[in-house]
Amino acid sequence: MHLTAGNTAEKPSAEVARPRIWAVGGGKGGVGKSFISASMGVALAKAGKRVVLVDLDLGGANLHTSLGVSPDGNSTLSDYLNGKVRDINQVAEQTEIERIRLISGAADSLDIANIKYFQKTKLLRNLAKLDTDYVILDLGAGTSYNTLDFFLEADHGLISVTPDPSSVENTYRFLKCVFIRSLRSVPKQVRETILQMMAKNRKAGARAGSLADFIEEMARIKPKIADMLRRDLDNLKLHIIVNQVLEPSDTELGRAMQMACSRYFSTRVGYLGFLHHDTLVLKALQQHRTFLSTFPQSRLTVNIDAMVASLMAQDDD
Amino acid sequence: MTIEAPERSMTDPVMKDYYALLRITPDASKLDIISAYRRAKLAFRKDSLAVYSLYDEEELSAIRRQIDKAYAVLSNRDKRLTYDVQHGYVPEAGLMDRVWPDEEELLAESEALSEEAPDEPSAANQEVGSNVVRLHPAKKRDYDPDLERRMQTAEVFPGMLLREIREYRGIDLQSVADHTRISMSYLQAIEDEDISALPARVYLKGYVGQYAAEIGLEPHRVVQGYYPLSEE
Repeated sequence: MHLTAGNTAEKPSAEVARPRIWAVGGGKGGVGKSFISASMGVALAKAGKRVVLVDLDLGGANLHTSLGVSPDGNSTLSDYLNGKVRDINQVAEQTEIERIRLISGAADSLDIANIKYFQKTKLLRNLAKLDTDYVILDLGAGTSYNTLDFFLEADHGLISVTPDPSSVENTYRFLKCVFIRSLRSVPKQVRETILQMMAKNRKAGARAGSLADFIEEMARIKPKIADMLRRDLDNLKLHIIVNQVLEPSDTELGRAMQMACSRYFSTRVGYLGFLHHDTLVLKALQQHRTFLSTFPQSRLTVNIDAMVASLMAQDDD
Repeated sequence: MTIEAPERSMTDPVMKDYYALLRITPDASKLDIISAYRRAKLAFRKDSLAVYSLYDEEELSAIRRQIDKAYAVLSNRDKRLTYDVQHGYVPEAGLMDRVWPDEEELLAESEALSEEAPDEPSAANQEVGSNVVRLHPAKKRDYDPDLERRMQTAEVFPGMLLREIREYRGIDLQSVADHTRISMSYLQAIEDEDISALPARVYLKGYVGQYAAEIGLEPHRVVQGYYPLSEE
């Protein structure tokens, strides 16, 4: 049953369980963030969960296309951000797919890419007020504070990476930014030292230090700070998804990156699995249909269902 | 207060604990150790995609040396015991209780792996491209002028010839199956010309073409010269 929007806003928050928030990010464009967001949404809906997909690729929104819906443009994220609509639930429009609602950016105003600080915090605060079981945030490429903050707001951060050097490089850049941004409890000075250290130019003769080195060093000279660092990093629940796999050897990439992360960042990053490259994804897109409902028997669908199931299981723990 | 970023020294890299280095726990079985070692060596190999932009070549080879060192200790029963005792993973009194499963069986496997352990990739490894995982690199046979000539001129490609060319190129059938996603049984049937086991003609044509491309032949020539396809 759908509660009418507006009702929910007045409801005491303790009564309604907070929705789980998953964010799909990754440094590079074109690595399948929208595809993964839409597909996970469909998989969750198939499992009987209510889902709100939020297109946070501000200024480059096309989650509606991956979802195969044509938003009627009644209300968009812009309307909520500039106060035209008061309740965030009112901009989440029901799609043709059962149990999936979409906060679309299709008809956003053209200046949405530059949302103001107060608009960002308003959105961040209110995502949890969405009356649904799951919220999926489809983020844009890049490492702007807006993107990082939405990513960090989520219960699970999913990072899509494709088996090519530019995607891997951008993924690590994204991770560095996420880690630094996530250090909320350590003194500002420590944060800045890490920032400088990680950005050091190799060519200038200096070795760019890893976060792991830094933490180890801190553990020696300032154990308290090392503990804070550890705690902040342990709070993150990050998961790598390797997308668009073509070669059998690419299937090793996820585990290898996990290993590299644990060594370089001294942080455990999960690995959800890999998805094969499939030309049918493009075909489904061209036909304005979601891949999962068009090809329910494909191995891509099976793999995405499995990923969603494993994430849901982690939430239930 | 100022906090200086630590200077990294090559002789003193992070993660000195051998188990942490291989991302396993001290109760890891021998099989766990072998597969963790394999994964670690792959992850930190030269030109590894997974560490692109994180480590340079020098750092990678230092990491690999560390991994080798860890493996040398953990894969050796006596050395591992000593290490465990030294690091308090096993109380000295409890030594005898430790179970060591299927050691014989695993030994062969670890030996096969350690042939590939040297840091510098062999010539065969470089040939297939550094990003291709080949623990048992394809070994090409010696140049065979007769077979080379037959490949160039053949109009008929019986299954036997196809198999000979594939083996000559040092490609095993499983890797053809991996690359083409054609099932092993069909590939075998193609080489055996086992009509009863071959798929329908429309599929067969595609399969033979893909198979031919995998073993370095021109697909259309092989499709034309493959007997079970010419039969009408």
